[in-house]
Amino acid sequence: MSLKLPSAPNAGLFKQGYLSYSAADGATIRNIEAVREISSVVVTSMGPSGRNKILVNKHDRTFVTNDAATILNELDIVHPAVKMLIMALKQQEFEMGDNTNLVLILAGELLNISEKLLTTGLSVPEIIQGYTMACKFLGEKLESLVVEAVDNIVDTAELMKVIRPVIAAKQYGLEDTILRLVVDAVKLILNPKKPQAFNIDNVRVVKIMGLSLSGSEVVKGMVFPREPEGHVKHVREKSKVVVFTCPIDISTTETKGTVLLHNAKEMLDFTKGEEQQLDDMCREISDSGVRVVVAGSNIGELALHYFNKYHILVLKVPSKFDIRRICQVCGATPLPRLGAPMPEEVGSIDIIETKEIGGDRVCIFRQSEDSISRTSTIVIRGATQNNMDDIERAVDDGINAIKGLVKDNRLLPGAGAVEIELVKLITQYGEKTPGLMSLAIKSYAKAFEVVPRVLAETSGLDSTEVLSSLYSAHADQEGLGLTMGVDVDGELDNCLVEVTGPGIYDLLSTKQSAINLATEAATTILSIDQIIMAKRAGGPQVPQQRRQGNWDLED
Amino acid sequence: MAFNNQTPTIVVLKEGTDSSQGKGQILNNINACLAIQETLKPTLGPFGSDILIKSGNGRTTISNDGATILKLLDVVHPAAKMLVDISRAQDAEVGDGTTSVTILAGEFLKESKAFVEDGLSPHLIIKGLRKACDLAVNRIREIQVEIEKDDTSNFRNLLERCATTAMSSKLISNNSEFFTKMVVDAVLSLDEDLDESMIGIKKVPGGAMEDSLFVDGVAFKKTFSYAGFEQQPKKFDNPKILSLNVELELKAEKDNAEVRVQQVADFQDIVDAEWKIIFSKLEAISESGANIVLSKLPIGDLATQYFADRNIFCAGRVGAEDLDRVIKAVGGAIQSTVSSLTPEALGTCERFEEVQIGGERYNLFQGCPEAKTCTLVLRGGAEQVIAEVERSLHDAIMIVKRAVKHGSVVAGGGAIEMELSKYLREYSKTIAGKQQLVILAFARALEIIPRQLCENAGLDAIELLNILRSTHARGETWFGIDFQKEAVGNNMDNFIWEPSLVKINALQSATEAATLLLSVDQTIKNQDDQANGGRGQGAF
Repeated sequence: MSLKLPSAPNAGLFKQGYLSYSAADGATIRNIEAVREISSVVVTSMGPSGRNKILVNKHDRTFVTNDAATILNELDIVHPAVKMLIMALKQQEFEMGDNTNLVLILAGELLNISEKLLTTGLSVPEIIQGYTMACKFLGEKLESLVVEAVDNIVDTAELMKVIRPVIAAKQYGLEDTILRLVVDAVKLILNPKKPQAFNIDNVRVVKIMGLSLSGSEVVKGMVFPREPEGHVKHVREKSKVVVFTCPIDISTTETKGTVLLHNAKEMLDFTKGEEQQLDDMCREISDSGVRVVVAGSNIGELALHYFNKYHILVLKVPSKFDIRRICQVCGATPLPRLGAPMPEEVGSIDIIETKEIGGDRVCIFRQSEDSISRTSTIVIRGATQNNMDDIERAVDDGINAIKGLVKDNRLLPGAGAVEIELVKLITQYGEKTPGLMSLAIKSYAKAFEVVPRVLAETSGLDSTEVLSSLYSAHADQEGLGLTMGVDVDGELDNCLVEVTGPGIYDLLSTKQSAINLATEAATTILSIDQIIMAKRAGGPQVPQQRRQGNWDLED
Repeated sequence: MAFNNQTPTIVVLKEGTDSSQGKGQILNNINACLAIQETLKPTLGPFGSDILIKSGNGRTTISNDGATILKLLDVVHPAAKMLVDISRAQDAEVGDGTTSVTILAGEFLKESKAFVEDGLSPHLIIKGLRKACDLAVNRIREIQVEIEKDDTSNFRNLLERCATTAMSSKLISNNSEFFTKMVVDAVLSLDEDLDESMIGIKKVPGGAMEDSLFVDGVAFKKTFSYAGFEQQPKKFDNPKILSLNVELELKAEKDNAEVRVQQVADFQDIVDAEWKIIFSKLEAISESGANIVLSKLPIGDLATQYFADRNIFCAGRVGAEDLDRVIKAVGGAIQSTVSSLTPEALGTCERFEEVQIGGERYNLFQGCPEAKTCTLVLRGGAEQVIAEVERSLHDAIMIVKRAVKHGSVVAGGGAIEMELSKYLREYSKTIAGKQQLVILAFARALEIIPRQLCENAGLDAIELLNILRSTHARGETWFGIDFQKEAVGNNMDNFIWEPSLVKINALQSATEAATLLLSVDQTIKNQDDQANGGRGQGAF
């Protein structure tokens, strides 16, 4: 090319192919625009009447969801600033398991507002300082807004108080059905004496196509979407279980080796010996009273033959996670070697049945009502895979809410009530603060308005009207207005609802963490004044194959 | 690229990501689903036409089974895929009604489309649809007719009628009497678990459909055989049957074994030992008293001749499914070793025979004591026809199976839909607000079933539907389309029965799909990695 192109700044500094954006090019503004683009995708997904999105990821899998974490996970985000926001969101997902959408929307709104501040001439450090001050103030104030607390975690009604709004935000209209499933499942495994020991991993979800959500059920024990290997498919009475993690077959050496045969006799005895060995082992297992064998690895045909002979049920469970859980359910110790188990290594199960649910045949490990179990399974039914996936996410959120509840039992009013209250309080604080910071703090307050506004918009209400009536309700001097929120059904006057009535609450801890993370992400993105991106190494990308996990990796 | 002109564009999502949002998106999705519905509409009901599909690999399929058609259509539109999903779910849960569920879902969406265009929040439409579906399902539960299972002959009648109704819309409707008996026999021969994989279906091209056989036991095609097979007896009464998972052939005993000999004499010993191993296996089998030896693995010519000498019949490479069914039918267990064979490991049946069916030899095991299984041998002119017969029978089998499990029925031929429609219309008048409109729309959508039935049969849909509406308004619950008289009639008395579960599941699935589609306002599609050459941004 003979024409000389205008060269980029730092042209001589980096290798060809580097991208560099500096503040002079308006990197901050562009970052804000990028964040706005992504937050506009998820903003309509917030709240009970939030819309779903169809996502088709690069592997051509379709998702239908309104869960922000899922949406962003499946989108291939390339913008570095947005990636940072997503990190904050993932943090929220790991830590709290809910309110991920709030992080994104709030951060987006904070950045949006700071764009206006930047154009009015405020400097970035001033905005950041203002935001940080406001966030600190908010942290102190938030606790004073608590309106309700869960005292007795094992009480169903109290539990429902927390889970209902969480599920309603994901599956509005179905919350009662899902709520019943979640509460049933959680109650089965919650130890009344030690609720802190609650582990979300102990509630399993199995999705089976067919019927509708109302056909879902909770099983005390575990459900495996596969049939037992041998002829024995059912165990009707309480029986002993042994769990093997090693392959159940004729033992082979790890090192490559050959068997050296010296004469004809050895050859004749060779097979006989193997059969004898397996027969003895199976008999030993059978003699120790075991009626059920769970195998984490392959089961040889010969071994299966002998197990059939002794009427032992054999189930193959390839997932290491499931093996761990099955040990928990039965109280068995996983055995890495073949042979008869010690009495203390044997677990027990009440009923094992194989039955057909929908078109699938499943194996159910069920425990009777009175025995102690620490695992329960929710069997979700539904007509479409996408819908079941989304219901599973709602169930997960509900269970996560309990985890949050175990840590901190204080509840804030939901339905946008607490956000409007925060707008009021932070604005007051901003007015008392001298200097330019006052502007930043007041803008910070304004950002919270986004929550009730979106709630109203997605529910088909007039957001301006709803917001103004919310403000006037919260302006009540005696603090009576604190619990007024948006009525998403739009059936009441002014579209306002007293949240204590239907019981719309949010957990203090999740909200606090979401606000903190959003503020942090927004300030970090604001403080960036230059982005430098290296040219991607190598030629066209090789299609990534999933690496075969090492044998001890979690699968 | 973005680098050179100093005003880099913002790349948030990967290049090639397609995203669209808003009301237009909802309407777009609905239109895609309506296109699917249009395709399936002509196949509904007894006078529905079949569709011939030529798939990408050049195979032709003739079918009027909704699930089969949708599976073969290879739908790529993400929203329309959901309709494919519900037809699959219906197939899994009930096995029939896959066409009606898709048509219903399409119709719900069509009715909702007007509301979306008018600016009604989808959220409100969803609420109304769910409410209407709940009401309809409760209504079905209220009016369904329970059949006593204890009265055997009555119960059989019920099953036969359900099977006839299910078959009426299929290719085999002309021979439904013949097949009904076959299907009901097949399902009743299963144990209480009702695992339909225990009903074997074999296809033999040639002959007429009536030449199809019902075998109260197992039948499978003669397996590959070696020399000596001809000398084996082909007919037994009360034989002892041994099922093996052992290869009966002279071969290396172990892959990783090696033989080292010191002297030449030892070498002959080794060779003898190999022969001895196979002969000891064969001896063990013949000593067990078995007359018939079946194996999943090959049975070589040595073994075949050995068995022929001892009047034993053998078949190697029997399919795993077939062998499982043999075990279910004749008793015994599959043996992975022949040492220590016990009498319990052997099964028996009244009659074993190798017969000619069409151009094929078949092994039949009949009169089995355990008889928890059966086999249908289907005949027909063309391969596609037999394949469609198989699908139709599968649907009928599933319907009978559900009827056995649940034992309650409603009248078909559009009767139940008209009744629900009437019920919802009346209900909608009792409530105020936008919900009234949505529930009324649901009621209207239900009428698509009788309307489409009429249209496919060439009847005057408008006239018949008006008569139906008025009869239902007079309280005739079970009036539907009567195709024989080309008029309306009481379908409960005409024995057009369907298990109520089919209808409940269809309504619930269709509503679920419709609500799910209405709740979507944005589609984001990531391009395949390979499609855009693998280079992200930053490529010059």
